[in-house]
Amino acid sequence: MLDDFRFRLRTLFRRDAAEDDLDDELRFHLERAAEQHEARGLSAREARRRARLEFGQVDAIKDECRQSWGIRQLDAVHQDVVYALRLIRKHPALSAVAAVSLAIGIGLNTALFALLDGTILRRLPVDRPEQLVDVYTSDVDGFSWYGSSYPDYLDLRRGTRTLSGLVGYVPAVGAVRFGDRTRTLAGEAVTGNYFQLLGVPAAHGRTLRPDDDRPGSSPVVVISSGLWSDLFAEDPEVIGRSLRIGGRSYAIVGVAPEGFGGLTPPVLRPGFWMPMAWIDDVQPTVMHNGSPAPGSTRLESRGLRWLLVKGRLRDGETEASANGDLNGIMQALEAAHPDSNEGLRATVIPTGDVSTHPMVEERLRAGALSLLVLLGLVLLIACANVAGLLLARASARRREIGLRLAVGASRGRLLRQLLVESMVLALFGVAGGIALAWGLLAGLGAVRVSLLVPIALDLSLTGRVLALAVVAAMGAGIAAGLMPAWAGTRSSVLDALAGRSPDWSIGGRRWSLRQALVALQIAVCLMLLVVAGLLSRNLLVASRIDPGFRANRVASVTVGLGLVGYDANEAARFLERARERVRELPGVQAAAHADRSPLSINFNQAAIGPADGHGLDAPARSVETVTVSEEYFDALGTPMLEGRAFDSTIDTPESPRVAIVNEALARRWWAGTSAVGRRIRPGGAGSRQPPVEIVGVVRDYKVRFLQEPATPYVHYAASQRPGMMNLVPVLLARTAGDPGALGATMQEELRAIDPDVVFWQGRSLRDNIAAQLLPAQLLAAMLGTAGLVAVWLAAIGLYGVIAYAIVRRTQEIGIRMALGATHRDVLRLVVRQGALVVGIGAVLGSAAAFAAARATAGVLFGIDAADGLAWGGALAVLVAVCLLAHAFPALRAVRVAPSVALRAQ
Amino acid sequence: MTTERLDLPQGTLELLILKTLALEPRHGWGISERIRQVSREVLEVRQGSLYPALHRLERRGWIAASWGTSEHNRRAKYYALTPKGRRQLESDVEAWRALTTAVGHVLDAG
Repeated sequence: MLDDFRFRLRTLFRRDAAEDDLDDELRFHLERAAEQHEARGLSAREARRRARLEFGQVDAIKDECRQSWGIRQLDAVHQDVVYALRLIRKHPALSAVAAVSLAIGIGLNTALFALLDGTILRRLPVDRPEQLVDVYTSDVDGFSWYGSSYPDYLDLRRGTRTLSGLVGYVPAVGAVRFGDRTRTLAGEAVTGNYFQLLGVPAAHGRTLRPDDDRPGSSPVVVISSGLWSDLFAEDPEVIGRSLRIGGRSYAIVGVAPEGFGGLTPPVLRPGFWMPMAWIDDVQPTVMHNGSPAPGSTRLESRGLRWLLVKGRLRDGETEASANGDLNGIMQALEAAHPDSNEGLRATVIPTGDVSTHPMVEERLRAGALSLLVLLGLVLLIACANVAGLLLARASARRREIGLRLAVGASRGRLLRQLLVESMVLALFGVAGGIALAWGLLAGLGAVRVSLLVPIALDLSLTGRVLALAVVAAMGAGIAAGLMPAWAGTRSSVLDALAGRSPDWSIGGRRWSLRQALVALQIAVCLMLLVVAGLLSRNLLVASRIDPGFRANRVASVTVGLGLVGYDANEAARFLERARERVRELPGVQAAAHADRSPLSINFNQAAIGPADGHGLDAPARSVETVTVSEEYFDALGTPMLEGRAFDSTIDTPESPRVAIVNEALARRWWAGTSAVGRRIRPGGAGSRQPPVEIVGVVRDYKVRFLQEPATPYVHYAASQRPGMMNLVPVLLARTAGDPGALGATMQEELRAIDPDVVFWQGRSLRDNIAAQLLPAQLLAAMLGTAGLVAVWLAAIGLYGVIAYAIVRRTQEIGIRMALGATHRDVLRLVVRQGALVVGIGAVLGSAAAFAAARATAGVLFGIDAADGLAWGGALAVLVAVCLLAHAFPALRAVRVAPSVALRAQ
Repeated sequence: MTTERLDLPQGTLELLILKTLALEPRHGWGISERIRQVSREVLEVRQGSLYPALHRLERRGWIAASWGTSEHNRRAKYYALTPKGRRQLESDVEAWRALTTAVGHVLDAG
């Protein structure tokens, strides 16, 4: 069997040599035979004749030999391919359009699939991932998804019957020493059972063990295979060497397998995994208000919900049974610890359903799905174009095809030839498409996103993605080829020879397959344009939102002090020095520091309630809080509406604690009266913490998201809590010049104070806004591109239909003009060709666009799905393009000279 | 030329070719001559039909072809039996013997 196949292939590929060999072989035989006859006394001529006679029909024998090679089927396909290539060379422009259409359609879809494959379609590379569940604790109002606190996690782990185990983990950014430089590197702090429960073995050495996570055990770390090659050049002796994180040496005990990227969302590829016991060493946090036992670490505090938890279902257990089980434990915890656990419930979700976090999942999936559908439509349009091209060719060849059918060519043979033609185009398309996808992904990978930590998006054309591209292209080729092939060979021999085309009738008019295809294209285009228009408008609205601070004038530099070993008091001293130096910089109008910057992803909520100071407190709500220095509002350019700003000479650690709230909070609790002089109590009613007096009210500004409604916000004075400074603080400075340049200068100033400090990405508040708008920008850009490409493709299709119709009616136009028809009459004729097609397409498209717009409404904010500008713009583009598609055929038609036209056939 | 000629039964030509090549590699003309001589000119293969059969056998991997120089110093395509071909020949000869014996019994039974 294998011999046979090898023989056929070899013969096919050295076809000409095989023919020569056959000639030589037979000639040798004939010559020897003739020699023998000559030796017996025949004349040379007679001897040759006799030899040929005995041999038989040479050509027939040759054909029999070729048949024995078993390559006739292959040979026929080979001929079809050659024929298809010849046709492509004959119509280079049309063929290029078809191939480019397909390449664009396939390229966009391949890039999108690669993106999804690298992110939300990713299955965790762990043992039996379908058993894993995410465990969240929900707030009283039930919609926010918190992590767990470490003590709660321990209690859940101890008490569960339905889960075989629970792991806790949290992204941990460490300042890692790379040779003589210190850089931030994303890692994960994990509980000791992490690798065991996930079933992930070490590639070298060992993974972490529960022993490693006990207090007092020596610091160890598992590194990623990426870090192993970057930092240690894949040194096989790496086990036992050490990694310096935040000034401490961790002994490397193992290397994680390649492809294991931890449990945090896929963009944050951890470079190391460290035992949870060391989390405060790498990323120290200082307790804010709200923790029931002040001064305790975050591993001890039950009120701090920072830990992400996953569990593994025991055999036979379900999400629902685990939910019931864990909620039983949560209720017991609520009874035992009402301070921290009041109203808290557990929610269990299969890990496979959540690629990031439940709060963003729905939007993410809706976005991905709409992208997938829309790009699929672009591919559909591309297919329609290729089909249109082949159809035009097939109708031009109808006589030829009819003739071939008449002389006995089988329909199957003709079908195969037409299919081979579209497959050859599809091959060009897939090659171009993969190149395009590769370029797109490279471009996307090069986008520098100003997020807090460097992100590593795993975008690559994996085998799976490439296979999908090829399958899509072949599918497109078959779809695009089958229709014309069917239409081309459907005609009866008589019809075809007479040059009649197999049209059919709709509403009294004869419709060709091409016209129907173009109407469909126009419909899809309109839909794409409307949705792209809505998203762009959406983006425009978002970028015009007033954040409430001078975004274009404020430099912001985030410093990882905790990462390089600062404690809270050292951090406070560093920040004061830094603030003084920054204020001296030329152009700086005000400078401040804070423990978070607006619109960063560094959230911080605490339970706070209004208080009268005499114990008659209202229940607490979750409120965003921030601790800021003097001049903070001045630095942001956000005006005070009432009261005073912080002043470090008045607001000392010894003075009564004060706060400045925003309008939204003042309005919520003291609507209609002044909030200045009122009190709030951290922790709410029943909290043992002292009340805090409000000394000022500031105008609302955006805290977490650009599009958020006014959100209650409480500012505490950093000067009153020097020991409580966040160790990843931000320095803010307002300038008259470029904030990005000032940000760079500020980083230099801070390095002058301490050369070891590390910085987060982003240098101005403008960068924070840009990072927030990026996903929407990408979506709108992709859809807009898809829409424009689709319009371009549809325009080509439309042009083809009209031009073809005009050519077919050249004779008629000539006669009409000879009989006195004016240019206007001719133009009307041309327009009528396209108008109906465009009209029907537009009606269908509007309906589809309306449905699509309603579906997108979930992603939109600030604008209506029936937004006039988006619809108007889409229709305008469509009309303009359709007019353009009409213009050229129309010009050609009015230039027709009757004498020429009459001779056209 | 002899007067009486026998037509070859289906598949016999292949067997004859394999047998002819069992001794030494030959070119097509050589095979044709050998069959004629050995069969005492009773069996004459229609010369042309030899070649499709040779190519078929080559495709099956029973014989292998290579270009060599003939006794008259000319380029000729030589065929040689492969190990696979030799096994095939053995089983074919056995089958042929069994067949002719059986047919003989039936005919003799009169």
